[in-house]
Parts: sequence; C-alpha cells; structure tokens
Amino acid sequence: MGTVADVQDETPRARTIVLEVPGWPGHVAGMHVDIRLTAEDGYQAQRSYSIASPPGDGSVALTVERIDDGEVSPYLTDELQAGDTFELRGPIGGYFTWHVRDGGPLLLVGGGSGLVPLMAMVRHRQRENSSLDARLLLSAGSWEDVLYQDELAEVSRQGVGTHYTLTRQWAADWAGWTRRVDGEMLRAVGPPPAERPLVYVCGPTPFVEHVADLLVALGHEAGRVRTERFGPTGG
Amino acid sequence: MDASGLHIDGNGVAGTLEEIFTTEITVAERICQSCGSRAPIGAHRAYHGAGLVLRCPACGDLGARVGALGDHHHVLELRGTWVLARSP
Repeated sequence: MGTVADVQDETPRARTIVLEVPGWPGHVAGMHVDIRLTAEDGYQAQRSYSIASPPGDGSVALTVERIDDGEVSPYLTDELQAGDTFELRGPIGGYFTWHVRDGGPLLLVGGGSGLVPLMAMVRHRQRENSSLDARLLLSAGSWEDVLYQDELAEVSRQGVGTHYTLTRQWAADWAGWTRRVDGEMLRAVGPPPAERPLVYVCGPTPFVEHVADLLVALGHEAGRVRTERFGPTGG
Repeated sequence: MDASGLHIDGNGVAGTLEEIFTTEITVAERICQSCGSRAPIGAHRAYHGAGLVLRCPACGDLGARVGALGDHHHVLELRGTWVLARSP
C-alpha cells in the first residue's frame, strides 16, 4: 500500500504524486510501479507508472498525465489527496534502468510524459555528482506540456545537454525544433554511435518505434538502445 | 507480423512476469527458436489482451503465452531457450 504524502501540479494535465511506501526496498532509476484501484463493486483497474524520483529519496514520486477517457489517471490527477492510500506493487523492472555505474555516455529520448523515467535517471546523475556526458531530447506537443521545466533549465546549466522539439504548437520566438524527431535531429543531439552511448527511449508506442528505428539506422547498436513503450492501454 | 502500434515492451509487463516467475525476469535473456537471436525479456514485444503474449523483437515469433483467470496467471506456453542464469 502507498500513502499519498503530497501532490504537486506539474502542467495543466500532469501531476506529481509523492508516496510513502512502508518497507520500500529502494529502486533504480527507470523502474515503475503497478497501481491497482478497486471500485466499490469489486471492479479492478491496474496501470503502470514510472517512478520520477531518484533512488535514495525516502519517498517515491510518480508523475501521472491525465488521459481524459482513462479509467485510472483522472482519479490520480483530479481526486487523489494527501492521506489517501491505494494498492501499489513495486519497484518493478530491471531492464529499463540506469545507474551511474552503468556508465555512458547517456542519451535520453522522451516523447511527452515519457520524460518521467528519464528524469529519474537525470536526477540520479545529479545526486551522484556525476560528470558523465548526458544528453536529453524531449518531444512534446507544446511548451505547456513539458514537465519539470525549471528543473530541466537547472540541470542544463549543470551540464546535461537538453534539447526540445515541439510538434503541435509553439510561440513565435521559439528557438527549438518544430518537427517530429528525425535522424538529423538525433545527429545534432549526439553523442555519435562511435561513442557507443547507452540510449533510453520512452514514450507512446509509435514514437518509440520511430525513434528506435532512426537510432539503429544511424548506426547505434540495437543492444544499447533500451525502450519503454506506453502502449494502447494508457490512462 | 506487424502490430507495432499495439505492443509494449517486456519490461512493461515486468510485474505480471514477476508474479509468475517470483523474481525479476526482464534482464534474463531468451534465444528465439525461430531466428536464433538472443534478447533480454525486457526487450521482447509484449501484447496485452485477455492474457499476455511475448514475441521475439527480431522476428516476431512466439516466446510466451500467458493466460489470466481472475487474480491468477497461468502460463500456457514458453518457447525458445530461456537463459535464467543469474550472477551471484
């Protein structure tokens, strides 16, 4: 069981939920939890959410994006309050994980709220005072949809390469990219395949599929590209 | 087969797999009996429906079929070579 310690609005559609989980065994950046909600009539819905907080925080933070017709996310983003409890299983997954001892260089490519597990990796790097080459490319519909904006600006000043592309809407003075992720963009962000970066890609299934294909076409080793797809049963 | 818009990764169903194998399994590797490629379970394609299907990320051949009944999962089929050796 997890107990909600705090909730913080991140964007108009996303919220961070900080949980106290008794007996939490600790996690590695990139892991997720399964949340199960049970209605009064016994109907159950289960969803996976990535952990946003780095290891060693004491609490567990999830950032949840609202899917309007979803069964679980509207409850988590709109109704949940401090003190509420719900059934939670985790930490889960040893494959899509990164620890500073895994080395780098590190290339993180996120689509929308696919940023969440990648942010846990960035936060872990910062907490460990690592100077490892790390670069982040985030694709979002509009700037308003970008999570953790202030923190990303801060880690950018601390040496994490942060790059953005907006695909739906952007301000007249927007200086970043305004198109789908493509090979030219990935080349510009780097590091080049010859440096054998560890690459983590997270986002909706078509986004991940597209980016993973581009990376392999550019010459990145498939075995060093790890993916996490949201899939169709979001919400 | 191409159903790329529908699947997630083996990593995304790690919780269900952990219920079945009673341990974290996504870093274990599987050698496909069809194309011979070796890939971590977490890198397999996972299809969720009434149950769960894992497919080879290279050729799409069947790796596992899992049926669900209520709260319980029942493994129906495992194919290929599952390399379950774990470092001490």
